[in-house]
Amino acid sequence: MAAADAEADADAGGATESVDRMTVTVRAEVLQDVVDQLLTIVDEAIFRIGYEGLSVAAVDPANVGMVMLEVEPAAFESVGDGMFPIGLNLERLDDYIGGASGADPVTLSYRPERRSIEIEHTNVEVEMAGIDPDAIRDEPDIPAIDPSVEFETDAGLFVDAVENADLASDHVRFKAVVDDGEVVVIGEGDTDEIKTEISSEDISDGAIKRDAESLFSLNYLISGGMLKPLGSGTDLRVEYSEDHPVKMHYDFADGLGHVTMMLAPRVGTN
Amino acid sequence: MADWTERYRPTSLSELRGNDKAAGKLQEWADTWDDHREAVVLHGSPGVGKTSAAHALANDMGWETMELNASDKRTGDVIEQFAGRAARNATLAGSAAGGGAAGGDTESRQLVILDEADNIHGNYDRGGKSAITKLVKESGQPIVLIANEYYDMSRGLRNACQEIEFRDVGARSIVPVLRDICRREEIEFESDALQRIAERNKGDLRGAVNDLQAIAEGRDAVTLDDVVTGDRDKSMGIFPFLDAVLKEQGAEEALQSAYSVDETPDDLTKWVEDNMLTVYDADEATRAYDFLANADVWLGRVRASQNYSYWRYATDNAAAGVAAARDGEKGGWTRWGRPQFWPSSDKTADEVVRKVAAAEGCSMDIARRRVLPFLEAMTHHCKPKELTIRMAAAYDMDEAEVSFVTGSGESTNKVQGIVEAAQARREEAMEEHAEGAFAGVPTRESDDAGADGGAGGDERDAAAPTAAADDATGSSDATDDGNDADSDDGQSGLGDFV
Repeated sequence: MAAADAEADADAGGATESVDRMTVTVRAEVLQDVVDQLLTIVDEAIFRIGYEGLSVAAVDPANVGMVMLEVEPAAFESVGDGMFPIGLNLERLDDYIGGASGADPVTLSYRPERRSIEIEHTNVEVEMAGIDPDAIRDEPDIPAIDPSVEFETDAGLFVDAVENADLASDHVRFKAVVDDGEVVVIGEGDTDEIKTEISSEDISDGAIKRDAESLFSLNYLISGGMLKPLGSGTDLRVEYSEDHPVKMHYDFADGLGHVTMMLAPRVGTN
Repeated sequence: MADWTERYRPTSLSELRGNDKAAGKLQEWADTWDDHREAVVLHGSPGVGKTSAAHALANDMGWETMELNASDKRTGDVIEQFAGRAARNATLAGSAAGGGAAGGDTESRQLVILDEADNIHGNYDRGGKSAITKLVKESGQPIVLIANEYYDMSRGLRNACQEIEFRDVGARSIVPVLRDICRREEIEFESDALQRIAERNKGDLRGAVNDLQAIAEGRDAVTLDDVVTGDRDKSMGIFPFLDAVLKEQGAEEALQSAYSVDETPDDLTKWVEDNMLTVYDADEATRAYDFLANADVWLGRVRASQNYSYWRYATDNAAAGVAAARDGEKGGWTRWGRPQFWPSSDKTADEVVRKVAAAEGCSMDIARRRVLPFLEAMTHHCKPKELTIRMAAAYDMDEAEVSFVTGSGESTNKVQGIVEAAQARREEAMEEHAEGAFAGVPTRESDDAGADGGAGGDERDAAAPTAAADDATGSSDATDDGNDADSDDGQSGLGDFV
């Protein structure tokens, strides 16, 4: 991650010097998906757009949740020569592209001399000021984790399980035991406790290598949290280990967009 | 040019200048955090290094930081969303590196820094205060609260935290910092110049560094002359202002001085009015009072119309007018006093007024303006004692309240004796009332009556309407009536007709 970023930075740095103005065109629904997912944890993020497609990584202000997003160049109608990094306010971007939908092409042009982008879609043309990337919190370096538990399941099923936990508590426990071959999603409140099983039949692919239990804050996941854009029909891959961040992956834009979400565990108070 | 206070911010607690003791305590707090898991409050004057200390500590400990300062909106929701999330969860990088969630290791720690914690108010920052208190009690991460005024924080919050005081940084500690910065910025300096900057900032290290930067801007040397001419506009203290208006300056100068005092015209007017008589003679005072009366009229218009542009006329009158009323200049040193208005918003005063109003059945306004002045005059310094005891008994006053009315010290034997005597008298009166009342109610067991009675009280009222409705004050009515007669001095209270 860190190495890739450094490269991207270097490329971008070089590219912005040489390119005066760079333009990419992407389908409205793809950009909309990107913005929707990012808005679940941050207000602003650094976009890197260009010949490698699009990549964004954003960590929430409390340094607890993170979303990484990549869209392959093939998802773009056209990509420019360089890569440009620009910090953007997501709420505003969301408003500006709100008029476009479905396969409408959205053109983003970078104007380095004014540190702004020009957005064109349908009959609308917007000039939007960028934010200095230095003013946005850098994503932390996350070392590779060998997860104790990995499983792939329908996102709708998983979201339901997590929402169940919310009925009784403000945090959720993921629990897996090697011999059981299933993952239990538990909400433990002060008085009540609710368990939802994700059985081996619902798990399309996965492995429980070691027993693992981990606790996470629900407000990062649901009620506008990271799982908000997800619904039935999307395959979600979840990886976690005891006392380590949970990672969740899914694809969008016909498999050309990839999302990784990460959430640090809750601190045990008892 | 980057801000020097940022560029030279200490990266380690050991680099913090001044406040070695506080830094040591902060380090100890962090080292033992696992055992106590309490938040800490760093308090002291602005610019002494509280925020720097917190960041330096996090850096030393290898903790991440999350800061919420006064420029952020701090409603309960926002605090919960940002600080709350940080405080209840491990950090991403830390937990991914194996720091764990339980916090046994410091790697997944994050220091939550809440700046200006004394400025979070229950109402204005909707729910902010209670959100912070809750957060501090439940946090799974170390929290540092930073405050200028420790006692402006709510008691609940103070009790939940440890406390470390940061003292003003002495000029002796400031000078080396300035010298060091000059060397690193390659700026030549005169030692006297740095000394002057340090002294002028009286304990405010950040202010000193800012001044140095402002003076050194565009220069490669700092001399004493530069420092003298580079004096910042500083606000004038209220005492120098009183000297200016009441003794030294002419009308125009006095008005200019008024502009540089950091007080509102209504407070200024009070200060001037309250101190004017200590230096003005009769003729001067007569003229000055005309101007003060004018000022007061304008202040009244401001209040009535909410048009604050009238404030200027109040200031014109209170400063220029009063200065013009003086013949020549006055010399010597005068001890200026605080205007007496301040205690009026006192809680004790409100409580006394509330009790008097409840007992007499009058409004609080009447109690404040028509009853309290008489009580004060009659029981001045607890004389006569008998009357004071009756008053204390009638209104069930405690030491603070008796002291407030009589002007005697709260902790004196005299006041305590009076309150004890008054209590004894109340109890006697209560028993008398109870016996009288329950004698008239044959079906009740008299044992049940006791010294006072919750449910019994209601029935008693029905049977004996002369006992007042309220249990707390009713039983003292017998003494009240007598008291009223003297105390009201011709003014009847509603209580007299019950």
